[in-house]
Amino acid sequence: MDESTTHSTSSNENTRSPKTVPVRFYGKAGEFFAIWIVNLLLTFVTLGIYSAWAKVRTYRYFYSNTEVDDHRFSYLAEPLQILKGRIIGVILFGVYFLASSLSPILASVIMLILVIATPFLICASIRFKMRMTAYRNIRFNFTGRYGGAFVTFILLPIAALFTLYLAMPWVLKKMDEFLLTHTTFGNKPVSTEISTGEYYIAAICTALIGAGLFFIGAIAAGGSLTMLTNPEAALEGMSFTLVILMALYVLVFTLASSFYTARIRNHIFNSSRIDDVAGFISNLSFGRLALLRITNFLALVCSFGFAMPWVKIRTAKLFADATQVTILEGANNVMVDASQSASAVGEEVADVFDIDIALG
Amino acid sequence: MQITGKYYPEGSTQYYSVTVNLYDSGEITVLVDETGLQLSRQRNEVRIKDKLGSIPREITFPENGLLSLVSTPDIDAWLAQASRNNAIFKMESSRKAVLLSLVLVPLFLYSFFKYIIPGFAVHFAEYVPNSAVSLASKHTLYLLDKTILARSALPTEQQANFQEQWTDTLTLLNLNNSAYPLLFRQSDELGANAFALPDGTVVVTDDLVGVIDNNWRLLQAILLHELGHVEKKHSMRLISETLATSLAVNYFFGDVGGAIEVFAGLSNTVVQNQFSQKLEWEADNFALHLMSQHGLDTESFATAMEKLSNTRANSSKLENFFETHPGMKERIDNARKLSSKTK
Repeated sequence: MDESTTHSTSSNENTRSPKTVPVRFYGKAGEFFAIWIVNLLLTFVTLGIYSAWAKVRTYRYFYSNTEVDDHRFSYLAEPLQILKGRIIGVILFGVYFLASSLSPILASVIMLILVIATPFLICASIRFKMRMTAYRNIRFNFTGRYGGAFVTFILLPIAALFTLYLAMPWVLKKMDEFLLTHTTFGNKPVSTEISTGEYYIAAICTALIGAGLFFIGAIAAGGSLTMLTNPEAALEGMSFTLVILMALYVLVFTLASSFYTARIRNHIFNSSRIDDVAGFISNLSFGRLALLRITNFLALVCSFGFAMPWVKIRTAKLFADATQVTILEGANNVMVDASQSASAVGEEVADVFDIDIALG
Repeated sequence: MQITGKYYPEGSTQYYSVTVNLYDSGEITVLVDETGLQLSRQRNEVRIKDKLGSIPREITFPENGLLSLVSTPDIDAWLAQASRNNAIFKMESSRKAVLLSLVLVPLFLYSFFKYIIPGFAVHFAEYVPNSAVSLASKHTLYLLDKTILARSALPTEQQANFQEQWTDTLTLLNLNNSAYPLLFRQSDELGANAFALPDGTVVVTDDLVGVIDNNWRLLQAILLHELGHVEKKHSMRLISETLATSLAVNYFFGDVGGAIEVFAGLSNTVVQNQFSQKLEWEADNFALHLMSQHGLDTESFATAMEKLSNTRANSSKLENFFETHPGMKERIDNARKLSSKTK
C-alpha cells in the first residue's frame, strides 16, 4: 500500500466534491430538563449571578448537540463575559426606567439617546453572538458597522412610516440582507441573493391569512353571543366569548407568523451561501411549524411553564430536520480571519466592546 | 486507555482523525493517523471544558488545537481528575437534586414576587432623594397642564375657601400645613378625579367637586385618601415595584432577546394593576384611621365613595361589572365598618 492510497482514505479527502448532508440535532428533552431546572434553582439561590453560567451551559448544550457533516458546533463565551454584559444591561435598564418614570421630559431625551445607541447595541450583540460561535475550530464573525446599521434599522423603518408601511417588506429584506452580508465564517464571507418580491409575497399572504381567519372567527363568536337573549346567560356568554377570542387570537397569530417564518427562512437559506464553503437548503413546512408552535403553547400553558425544556428541544429538532447543507470544495481551506489573531478556542477576548449587552 | 477522536489544529478548518491515549500518569498523547505527527501533554496543561449532558468532550491544547472526544464513562472519569470539578454536572445528573429543584423553583418564584419585590419597593422608596421627587412632580404637572388639564372653572373664592379649610385640617392633624398644596383643574379626560403628586401636591378636578355637591366634608375625606398616597410614598413604591418586576421577568425569563426587546417591552401592566389595588387599600385605611383618630366622621368617606361609584356606573356597565364595582362596594363597606365601630 503506497502513500497515495493511505492519503485517499483520510477523512479530509471525502469532501472534495460537493455533497449534501443533513443537519443533525442530538439534544434530549429529559437530559436538558435536568440542566434547565438546576440552572433555575442556582440562579435564584445566587440572586441572579449564576444566570451567566446557566446561559453558557444552555448554549453549549444546543450548539454541541448540533452536527453538520460529522462536526459539532461550539459555543465559546465565558460566563464572566456574559455576566459583565448583564451588569451593564441591568444598570442601563434601571437608569432608563427610573429617569423616564421620574420625569416625562427626561424620558423623551433618553428615548432619543436610545435611538442613537440602538445600531451600536444591535451590532455589538450580533458580533458577540457570532464570535462566540465556532465550527471546526474557526469562529464566525460579524462585520456590520454603526453607519450601515443606523440606516438599516433606524432610518429605513422611519421612512417606511411615510409610505403607510407599504415599503416595510422591502425594509425587512434590507435588514436581513445587512445581517447576512456582514457575517463571515473565518475568512469567508456570506453572500446572498434574497429577493424583495419574495418578502412582499410573504407579507401579503401573512396579512391575508391573519385577516381572513380573524374575520371568520369574529363572525362565529359574534353569532354565538347574539343567540343568548337572557341577560344572565349573556353575561356568562360574554366571559366565555372573551376566552374564545383570546384563543382565536393566539391561533391566528401563530398561523400567520408561522407562515411568514417558514416562507422567509426557506427563502433566506436557499438563496445564501458561505463562499466556496457551504450552500444551504431549507424546506421548513408551514403546517409543521404551526402545529409545533400551537402544541408548544398548549404544553407551556398546561404545565405552568415546566414544558419549556421539551419545547426548546423539539423546536431545535424541527429546524435542524428541515435544513441541509451542501459542502463545497473550499470547506477544508477556511482560514482564520486576518483580523482575528488566533484560532477560535485560544483567543483571549480582550476587546472591551466584545460583550453582549443584554439582560436575558 | 486508547480511543479515537478528531483534532482541529489552529487557524483553519483542517481536521484530522486521531488516536488518543490517556494514561494513568495523567499524560495524554494524540497521534495524527494520517501524518504520524504526535502531541504529548499532561492533563494539567490542557483545558478541559466542563462535562455537560452527553455532548462530546472538548479539550484545548496549548497550541490552540481542539480535540473532540465522544463522552464515555471511562473518558469522563479520566478527564474528571483534572483540577476543575464537576459539581454542577453531578447536580444535573442526580435525581434527588432535580426533584429538589422542582420543588424549590416554584417556591422561590412565589416568595420572590410575593415578598422580596414589595419589600425592596418599600426600602427603595425611602431612599429616593427629595430633589428627585420634587423634580418628578414638577415635570409631571407641567406635562399634564400642557395636555389633559385646563384652568379650573370654579369661582376663585370657592377655591380659596376649600384651600383654607384644607390648611385647617392639616393643622388639626398636626401636619405641616404648607407641604400639601391643593390645586383645582378642569379635565374632560379625567372626569371626576383627584390625584396626588409625590411631592405632596393634590389636584382635584372640577367634575369631582360637582359630584360631591361642593360638600367640604366629602372633599376632605377624598383629600385624606390622597394624603395617604403621599405619606406612604406610593408613587415611588409603584415605580420601584414595576422596575423590580420587569427587571426580574426579563432577567430570569427573557433569554430570547437582547437589550432591544427589553427596552421595547416595558409594559408590565398586569403586575402594576394588582399592586396599585393594594396601594388604594392602604390609602383608604390611612385616611379612615386618621379621621377616626381626630374625631372626624368616617361616614363622609363612605358617602364620597358612593357618589363616585354612582357616576362611574353610568360610564360603562361592562367595565363596572368586571373591575370597578366590587372594589368600590368593598371600599364603602370597609369605611362603614369603621364608622359603626367608632360610634
